Amino acid sequence: MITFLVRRIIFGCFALIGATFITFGLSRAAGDPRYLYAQEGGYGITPERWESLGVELGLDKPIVWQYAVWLGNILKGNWQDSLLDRKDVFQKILDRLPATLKFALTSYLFAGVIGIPLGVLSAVSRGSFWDYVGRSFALFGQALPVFWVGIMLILIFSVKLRWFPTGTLGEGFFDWKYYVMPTVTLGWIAAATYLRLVRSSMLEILDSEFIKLARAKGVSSRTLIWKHGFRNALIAPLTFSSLLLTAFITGAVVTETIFSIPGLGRLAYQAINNNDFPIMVGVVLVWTFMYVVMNFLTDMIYALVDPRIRYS
Amino acid sequence: MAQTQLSDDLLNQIGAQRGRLGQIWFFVRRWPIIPLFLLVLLVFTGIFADILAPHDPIIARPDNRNIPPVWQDPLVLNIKETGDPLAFPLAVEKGIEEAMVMYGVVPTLENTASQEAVEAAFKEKGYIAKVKWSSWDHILGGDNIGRDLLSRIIHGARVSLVVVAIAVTSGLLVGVSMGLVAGYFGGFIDELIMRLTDVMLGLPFILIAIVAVIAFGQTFTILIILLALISWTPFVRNVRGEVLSLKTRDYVALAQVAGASTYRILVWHILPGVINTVIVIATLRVGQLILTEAILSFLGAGIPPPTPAWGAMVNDGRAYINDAWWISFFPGIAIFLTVMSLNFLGDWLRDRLDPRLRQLN
Repeated sequence: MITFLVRRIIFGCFALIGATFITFGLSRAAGDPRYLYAQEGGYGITPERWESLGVELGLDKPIVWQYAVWLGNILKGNWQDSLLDRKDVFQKILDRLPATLKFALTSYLFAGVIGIPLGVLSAVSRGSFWDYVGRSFALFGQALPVFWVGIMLILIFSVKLRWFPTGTLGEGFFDWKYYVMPTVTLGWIAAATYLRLVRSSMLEILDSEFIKLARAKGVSSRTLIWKHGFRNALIAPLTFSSLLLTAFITGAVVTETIFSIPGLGRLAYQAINNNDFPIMVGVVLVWTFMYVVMNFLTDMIYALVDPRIRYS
Repeated sequence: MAQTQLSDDLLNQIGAQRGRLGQIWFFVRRWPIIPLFLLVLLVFTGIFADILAPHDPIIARPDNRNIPPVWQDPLVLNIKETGDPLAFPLAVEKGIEEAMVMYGVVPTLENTASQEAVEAAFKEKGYIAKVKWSSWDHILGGDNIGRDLLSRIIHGARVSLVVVAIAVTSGLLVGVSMGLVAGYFGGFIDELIMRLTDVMLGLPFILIAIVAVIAFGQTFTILIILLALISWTPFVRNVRGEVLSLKTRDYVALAQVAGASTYRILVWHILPGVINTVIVIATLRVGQLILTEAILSFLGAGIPPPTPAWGAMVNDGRAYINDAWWISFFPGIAIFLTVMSLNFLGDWLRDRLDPRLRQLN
C-alpha cells in the first residue's frame, strides 16, 4: 500500500513538472515573451518597462535559469498580470474557481446517478427495452458533440419552451433552474462513459463462476446483483476515471462558454479570443494541478475498493 | 455483442427462418451497413467536394444571410417604417400572410409568389420589409454571413477528413513503433516509453493545445501536429500489451534461432499479430479526433477561418440560434453521424477481430 502511494505521489509530481515544462516551453518557443505586449494587436509597452521586464524574467540568463525564475514566481503566487485588464492572474483564477467547481460537481453527480444505475439495469436485463434505452443513451452521448448538445438545449428549452433560463449560474448559492441544462450537457458524455463501462464489466462479472455459485446457493437476485456483482463491476469505471476527467475539462471549457458560466473554462475561452497568454498559462497550471490531485484521489479510492491493488 | 458468441452457421439458420423484412433487419443488424454507407458517402463527398458543392463555400453573399432551409416557410424577417438599419422593427419573424394581414396588405397569389413581390407589396403601404426566402438553390439555407450551408458542410467533410487522416496516420506510425519497441525490448526503454505515455495521459491536453495555438498562431500545421500528439497513446499501450504475449510464442523463438534480425522479427513476425488491435483502435480514434478537432474549431483554436470546419460552423450559428437554428444544427448533425458511424464500425470490428479490447472506452 505504502509503495503504491509513494509511486502515485511521485508520478503526480512528474506530471506537474511535465506540465510546467510544456507551458514554459511553449511560452518561450513563441518568441521573446515581451513581444506579447509589443506585437501588433498586443497591449503596448514602454521602453523602460521592456528593460525592467527583461531583468524580471531573467531573459539575459540561460534558459534553465529563466525556467527557475518563472517556476519560483509561480510557486510564490506571484503570477503575471493578464494582458487585457492588467489584473493578477492568480486572483482572477481564484475568483472564477467556485463557479466551475459547483457546476462540475453537479455534473459529476448527474453522471454517476444516471450512468451507473442505468448501466447495471441494462446489463441485468440484457436485450430488453431498458438495455436499448441505456445503450442508445450511451451511443448518443459519445457521438454528439458537447457544444452542439448545449446549443440545441438552449434552442429547445430556453428559446422555444422557455422552461429554463440560460447564462450565468443564477444569483444565490444554488439556483437549480440555472444548473439543469449545463449539467446535462457536461454530464451526458461522462454518464455515457460510466454506463458503457459498468455495463460491460457487469456483464462479465454476472457471467463468472462465483456468481453462478451464489445463484446455485440460492442467494436472492438483489443481493446477487448489488453485493456480488455491482461492487466488483465498479472497479472498471474507476480505472477509467482519468479518461473521464479529460473529457470533463474539455467539456467544461465548452459548456461554460455556451452557457456563459463565469468559471475557469470561460476564462480560458476569453483568453483565446484576446490572445491573453498569461491567463492561459495560469489556467493550464491550475487545471493540471486539480487534474493530478483528482487522479491521485481516484487511485486511492481504487486501492480501497480493490484489495488486489493494495497488497501487490 | 451477443451475436459474436454464436457461430455464423447458426446465425444464418436463424436468419433464414424470418420473413423478408425480418431478413433485411437481421442483415442490417449483423453487418455495419448503415455506418459503412455513411462513411463511404463522407469520403466520397470529401473527395468530390468541388463538384458536389452547389456554391462556393467561402464567398459570402449578404443577401443570403440566414435564409432558411428549403422546406421552411419563407418568413418576414422584420418590418420597419424607414430604411434606417437602426430603426426599431415593428414585427419580427412572422409568416408572410400573417404579417400582410397585420399591416393591411391583402395577400394574393401574385404578391406572395416571390421575395420581390412581397417586398413591393409592403412598400406600397409604406413599410420596408425584409423577407427571408427559402429556395432549392440553397437546400440547407444560408449561414450568418450568407454562405451556402450545404456547400460549407460538403467542404467541411474534406477538411475534417484530411486533418484527421494525417493526424491518425502519424499517431499510428509513432504509437505502433513505440509499442513494438517497448513490448519487445522491455527493461529501461519500456519503462521510459510507458511513463511518457502516462504523463501524456496525465495532462489536460485540450488546454495545452489552446496554449500552443495562442503561442504559434492558428494554422493547419499546428492543428495537425497537436492532433497527432494526442492520437498515439492508446496505440502504444495496447500494442505493447499484445507484443508482451506474442514475443513469448514459439514462432518468435524459432525466428530468433534461425538468425532473423530484430527488425525482421518485429516487422514480419510480430507486427502482423497486432494488426487487428491497431485497426480497431484506429477506427475508434478517428471518431474521437474528429470530435476533438470540432471542439478546437468551435473554440476558435482549430482550423483557421474562413476554411469551412464543422465545429466552427456550429459556433457561427450560436449567436443566431433564436432565428436561424439551421446554421448550428446541420454541421452538428454531420459531426454526429460521422462519429456515430465510426464508433459503430469500431465496435463491430472489435467484436469480430479482437474481443479482448471490449473494455476499451
